[in-house]
Amino acid sequence: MRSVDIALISLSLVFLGLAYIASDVEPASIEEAGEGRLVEFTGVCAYSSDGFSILTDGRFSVPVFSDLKVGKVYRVIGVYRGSGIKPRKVEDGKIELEEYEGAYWVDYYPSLLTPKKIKLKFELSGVHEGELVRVKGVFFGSKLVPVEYHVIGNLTSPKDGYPFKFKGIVLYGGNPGIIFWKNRSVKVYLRDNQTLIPGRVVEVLGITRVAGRITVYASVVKDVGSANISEKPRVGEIVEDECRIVQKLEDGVKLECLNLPLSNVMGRVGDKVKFRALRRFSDYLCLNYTLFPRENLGNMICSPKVGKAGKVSGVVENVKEVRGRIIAQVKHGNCRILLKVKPDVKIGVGDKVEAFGVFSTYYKKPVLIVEEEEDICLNSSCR
Amino acid sequence: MLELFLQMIKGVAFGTLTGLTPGLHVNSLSRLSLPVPTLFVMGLVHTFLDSIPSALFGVPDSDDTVPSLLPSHRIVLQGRFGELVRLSVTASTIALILAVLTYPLYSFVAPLYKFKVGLAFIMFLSLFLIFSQRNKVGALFIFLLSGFLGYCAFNMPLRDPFYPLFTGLFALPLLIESYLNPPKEIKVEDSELSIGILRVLKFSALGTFFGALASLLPTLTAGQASLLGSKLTKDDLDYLTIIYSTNTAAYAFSLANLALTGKTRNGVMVAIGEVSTSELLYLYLLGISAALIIMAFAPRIAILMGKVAFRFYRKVIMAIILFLFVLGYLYNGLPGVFLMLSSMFLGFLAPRWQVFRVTYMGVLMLPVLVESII
Repeated sequence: MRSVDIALISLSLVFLGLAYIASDVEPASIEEAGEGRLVEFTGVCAYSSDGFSILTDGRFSVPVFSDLKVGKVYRVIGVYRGSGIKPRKVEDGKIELEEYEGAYWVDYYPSLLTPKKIKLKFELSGVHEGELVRVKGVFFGSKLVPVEYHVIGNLTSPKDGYPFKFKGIVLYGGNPGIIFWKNRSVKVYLRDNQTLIPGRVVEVLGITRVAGRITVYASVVKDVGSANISEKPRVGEIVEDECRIVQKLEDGVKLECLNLPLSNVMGRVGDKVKFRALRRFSDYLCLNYTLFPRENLGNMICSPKVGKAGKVSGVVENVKEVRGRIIAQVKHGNCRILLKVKPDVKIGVGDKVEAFGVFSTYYKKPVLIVEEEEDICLNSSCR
Repeated sequence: MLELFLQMIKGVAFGTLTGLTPGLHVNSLSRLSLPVPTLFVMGLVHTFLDSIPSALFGVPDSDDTVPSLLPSHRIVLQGRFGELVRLSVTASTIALILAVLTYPLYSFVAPLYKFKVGLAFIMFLSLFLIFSQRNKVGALFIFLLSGFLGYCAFNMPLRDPFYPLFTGLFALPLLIESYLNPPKEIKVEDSELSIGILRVLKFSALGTFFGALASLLPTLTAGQASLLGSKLTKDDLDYLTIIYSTNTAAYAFSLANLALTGKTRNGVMVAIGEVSTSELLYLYLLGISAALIIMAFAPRIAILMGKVAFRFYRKVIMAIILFLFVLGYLYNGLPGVFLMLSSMFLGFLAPRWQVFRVTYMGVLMLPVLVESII
């Protein structure tokens, strides 16, 4: 071997040593990135599609030319090329994450209500709407990219601005409607073309506003059945019975067998109603009914029952006016009873009368109180 | 350190294998998953040595060595094969060092490259190629014919259309002529350079410039770039210095181009995929280390190879022809073999019409021009 060859080999080793020293290349941070430089970046994958992903650490968002899993933290070392990183090494990374606690909610996009709305980058799997979650992640633009999350429970009472899920009985139907929940009434607004049906038990999920009364803007309403039937109903329970109308009201009637008015029914005093009604705070709401006309009633002149509706027919024996009302005595056979009618009813002695009303007493004597002109027929002439 | 040393030795070994084996391109091994230092050294060593089989048998494995065919043959026939090998490794080493030293300038220019610049350059080169020859009509005809052949080949479902084209156009006609007319007696021995180192440095610098151009312009290969150099010198050694240095410099700059712009200019760079500017220094230092080893050992290996080749010249040529056809079949199947034969018959035409063989580079240039303009 010639001395030149030995010199060449020695120099080769020197350059190899230099190459070894120079091969220890530390990747630069993303702030110092330049075209073609070896860089390092740790961030959460906020977007990924067809060999292209975006990593973000909340401050910087960097494209990475690789398929990564959205929501996972990566440490990427690679060559900075065209404002992105062509990765050479991709491994699990760690970064400081922001933590938020709130209720999970999805309308047009998934979000976290704290109650301030924080948009989430993607839906949280295994988490149901309305559940309270603790989410750790970083912001990518205006959206939080969740990295870790876990459910911490559910709201047990409505909280202003938060979603709330509850089950109750519909007292007032329509949209909005009123639902009876834990002895409170909750006003519920539904989405378009939706309505609540009284007497149904429903499960509602929606955003709550608490300002004196509770209002829920429902996004999900589920019918889960009918309200309970009870003989002695409390608010939100259903009663089934039959009895006669004792008074006509503007939008309903009063019945012999109910202590509160029954709304949503039309009839005359003395008509018999077979009904199914929902007990509300100050009335019953008739859900359905069958009306039996009063014409089938027998003459009760000999057997009046105070407080009950009945029919009296006979001949008028005398008429007098007392404090603006007409008191007429009617006789049928050996039985006599007083009729109390309005002054505009032209009733005279000897008239044949047939009247419907409610039995009461007048100076300890039985009296049939006739409320309307339509409830009395004189000489077979009825109004 | 040991790992880096082993990676370099592996690169030197693979590069020597592809460089000295006629017809075996470095891309064939770059498909193996090798580490970046090994790949780079392998490709570099290949550029140092691929002129040796070309000189011995006129067998190029790519277009990069095409223009050197006749001058190198002349020198080998004069019994100066050893000097030729020394010139090849010396010019290549100088080109590598110059490429490293001029990197700051290159890093400024490389990102400015636009495709239109490359297109204008290839247009200029095509006109230069045709009108600089005595038989301009013949040159035009060969340019157009080879361009048509290239256009057909690139539209065929072939894995590697370059291999049958270049082997058929440049290698096979020369091998067959060498087989039919073998040299009578050739002296193969080691010898020193007959030209001064400053002259080698001067023409290597020119070759380095052309190499830089070749690495930047995607339509321009090292072979074409050195064609320009051939107009600047009339001496065979000066011309070959330009050829060898252009080849190595183009390769060395292609690594810088990859790091600076992400553009891959050859198969090895495709295999490397991505390299950062921060890693260029150590890779170049490793390349210089490998180059020094090659400078020490390449002449010995080449002389041995030359002695064996000329002892069994016709048998070796026949074996090489068969080997090239086998490779052609392995690369592209039967269509590849037919394309190789088609190219071979066209390849016999240029010397008969007194047209430079390099005119066959129309096989690349014309399809690129047509595709870009249409």
